[in-house]
Amino acid sequence: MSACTPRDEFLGRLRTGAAGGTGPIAPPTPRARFVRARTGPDGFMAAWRALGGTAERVPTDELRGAVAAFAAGRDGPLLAAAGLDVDADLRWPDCGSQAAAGAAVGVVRAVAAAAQTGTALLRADDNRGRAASLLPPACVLVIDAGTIVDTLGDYLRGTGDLPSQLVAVTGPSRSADIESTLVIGVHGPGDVHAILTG
Amino acid sequence: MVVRFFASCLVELLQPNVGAAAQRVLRAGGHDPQPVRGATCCGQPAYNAGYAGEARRVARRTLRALGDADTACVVASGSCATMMSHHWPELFEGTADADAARRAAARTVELTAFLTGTAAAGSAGDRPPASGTGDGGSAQEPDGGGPVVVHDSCHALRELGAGATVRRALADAGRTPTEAQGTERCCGFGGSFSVKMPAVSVAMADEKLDNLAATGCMQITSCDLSCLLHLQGRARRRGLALRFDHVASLLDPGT
Amino acid sequence: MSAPTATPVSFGRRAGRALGDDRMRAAIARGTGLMVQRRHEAIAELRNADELRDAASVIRAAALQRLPELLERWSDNLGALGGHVHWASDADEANAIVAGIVARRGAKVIAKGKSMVSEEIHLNDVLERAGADVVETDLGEFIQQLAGEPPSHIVAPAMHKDRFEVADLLSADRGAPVSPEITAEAAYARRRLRQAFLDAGVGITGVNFAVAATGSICLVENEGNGRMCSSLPPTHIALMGLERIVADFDELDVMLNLLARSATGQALTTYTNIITGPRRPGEVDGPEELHVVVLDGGRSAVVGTRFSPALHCIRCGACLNVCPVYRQVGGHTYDSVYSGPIGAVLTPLLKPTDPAARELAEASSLCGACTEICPVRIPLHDLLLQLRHRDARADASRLRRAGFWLWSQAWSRRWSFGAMVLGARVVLPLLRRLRWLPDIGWLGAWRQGRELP
Ligand code: SF4
Repeated sequence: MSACTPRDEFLGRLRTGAAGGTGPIAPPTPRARFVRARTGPDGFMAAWRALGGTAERVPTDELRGAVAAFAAGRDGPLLAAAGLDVDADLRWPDCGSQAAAGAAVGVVRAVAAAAQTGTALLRADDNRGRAASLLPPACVLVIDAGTIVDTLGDYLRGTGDLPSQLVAVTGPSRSADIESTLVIGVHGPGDVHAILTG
Repeated sequence: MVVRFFASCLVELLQPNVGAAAQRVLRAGGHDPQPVRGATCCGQPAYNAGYAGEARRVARRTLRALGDADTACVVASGSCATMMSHHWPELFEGTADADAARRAAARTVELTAFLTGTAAAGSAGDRPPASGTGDGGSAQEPDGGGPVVVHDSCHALRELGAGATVRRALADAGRTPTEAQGTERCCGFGGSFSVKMPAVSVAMADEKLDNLAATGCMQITSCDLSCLLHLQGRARRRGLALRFDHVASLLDPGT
Repeated sequence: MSAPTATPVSFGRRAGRALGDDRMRAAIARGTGLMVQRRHEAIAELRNADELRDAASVIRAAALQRLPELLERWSDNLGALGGHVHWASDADEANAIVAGIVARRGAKVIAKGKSMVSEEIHLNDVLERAGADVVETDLGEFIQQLAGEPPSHIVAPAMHKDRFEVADLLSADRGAPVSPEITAEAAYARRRLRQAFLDAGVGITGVNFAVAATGSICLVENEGNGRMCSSLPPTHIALMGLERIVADFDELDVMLNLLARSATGQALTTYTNIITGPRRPGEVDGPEELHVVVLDGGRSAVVGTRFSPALHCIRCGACLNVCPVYRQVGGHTYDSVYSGPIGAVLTPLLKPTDPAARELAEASSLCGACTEICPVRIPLHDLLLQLRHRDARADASRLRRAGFWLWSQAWSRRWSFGAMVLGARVVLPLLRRLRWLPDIGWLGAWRQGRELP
């Protein structure tokens, strides 16, 4: 492997500085408090819609219908992550990335959501990978209403093991890089639909 | 009440009438301003340019002239008041004048902050008359007592929180402060910056002047003469018919 | 006291050129104005913004105080999960590390997300010289790559361009017209870059925060290109400055609550990626190898000095947006990877012997708008002042130093000051009346655009 500075030498330079790691320091870590608090499924849906996403809440046994209705009339196959009880043209991960890239809709499960910011949490291990929620232009996120917490911080503090990648998705892919003007749907999905079940 | 009064070097050099006006304002408020004899400058020009030694040499002159009494030191400049109250302790740190500098810092107060601060504590009868039509003392034409737009100097606004006190002092004197767009944005003076980066400095002045002129109000004021001279210099070059007066001149009850 | 080395083109000169570019200035004024407004609205959604900012400031300071401990813990944790951490003392080492990985993995196409550290070390040049096809995938960075320019803003790299300029660049890239509408432009970039993500052998990104307790790196972004770069290629290389560490998720939570609000006015960016090691058994995608390159690049010399607050920066760009100098001249005038107030502070610290870098401390009126808005409360204008105290005297001409000395002599005696007062009353009216003035030195600089007082 290429020559790099040994860790001890690298960190040693930081020890000689006036810093030099003194005892345990416990900085304050206040929780954010919000002017308009959003909690629960309704709070999540309001926040999600404000970001430009769409959302609905259905009884668990109506998930299939809700997904089919969202996908109806779209130009391309529907891709669903393994283990989701929905009708799909393609199954992730068996179909592979190139096929996933050609899907019109990807359906994945979010392990939790944060109501305040309208954030859905996707674990790489849960959907057995990452591409299904990333490559298709539209994404359906299936969220069990019982898993909704207040904030991303609450989720992070409460989660024990971490997957190789945890992505907190807060609305559709966007950019304001040209003239500081918002456009939706750059590389990730621009059309995001949250289905809350239960 | 006796207070020490320091006009600032710029006022003494370029608009001594502002110093006289400020003292009249103080007297009308029931105070007894005693100019700090022998004071020259707070040292800011050198300090902000990175020359601490030179700044200290000059500031020491003023610090010693100020003496060590307990009376407030009223300064007719937001940026000088900031220099004295915020930077003097550091500037004199480790020197024989360190203690004196800390005490002076605690005593220093910008003119309108002093006026409005005492207004809250003192009796209303001590206030300057509400008519506020400046005459006599001002070197320029009387300003007429109409609407006025406040230019917030950065030091006054951010370090002293004096944005409100200038407006309150004007309102107390019966003047109606008008608000300009982008009032929190620097006018581009910045001491040595104005001559080290003249083109940028002037570009900043232009944006500020456009915003000021857009209010339709011709009278501009501030608690910092330095900003006003920079803006006035630019306005004259551009042929803009705006008037720039230090807030002391507008509050001046006359002789 | 070293003699000042003449800088090739001074900030003032570059600023002069920038001030003549009305199109750029209009774009910057618009862009920064919108960003400031969005930031204010987003911060106003917090009941305890001040408390969070205070805490963030303490968190950053405490992290710097225990850097060795935190970095050690973080790298142990990440290493245990199969991630590789590389320590780079300077740009050359960092570049060599990345180039070595790219060569070993035989990658031809490299998909790159936004990384200021990669700009700092000029990584693209090195990789391209080695024959790799490096594709910038952040929309703004992609535009800048097509333009052959560095980013002009740490959050919005192409802020200085309007959509017509962007359309010209994209059309040239496509070989056919791309309509100057922002949605069409973004759609073109999506199509154009999609294949790069799928073809790339290596994905390169920055790091917003490294979390010591878990060995994670956190990467925030809006477009999804960061997700792509860190998910699709078989190798992911992340670059970070050594200061970018927090202890745990409690601290990360405080930082995340401030970062996006200050940067783009969002509560959170669209994607907050928390990456904890490479792909694991049972996962079908995600990188087989994860490498994190930690760059010193002059930072260790700043840690523990009075300038160390400069390393608290979380790269939100808010100080650029409120800076009246940046607003007039744009980012390229700084001729540095980091522009605006934080650039004017950081550049002279990371390159303490470079006169052009040191000059940046002069590019400020010290108005303090940067300090006021900084989410982690870096006293930026105060650091600029302290940098002047460090450098100004050494960098000034003999004449300038003599000038300040003379001034201090004259201004520190009542009689000579009195003489000046009298002199001013005589000389100024005279000067004002003179038709012609010798426009030299400060007199000339003042009269450049202004009448005398
Ligand atoms: S210095 Fe502060 S305001 Fe500027 S980019 Fe860094 S964190 Fe943001």
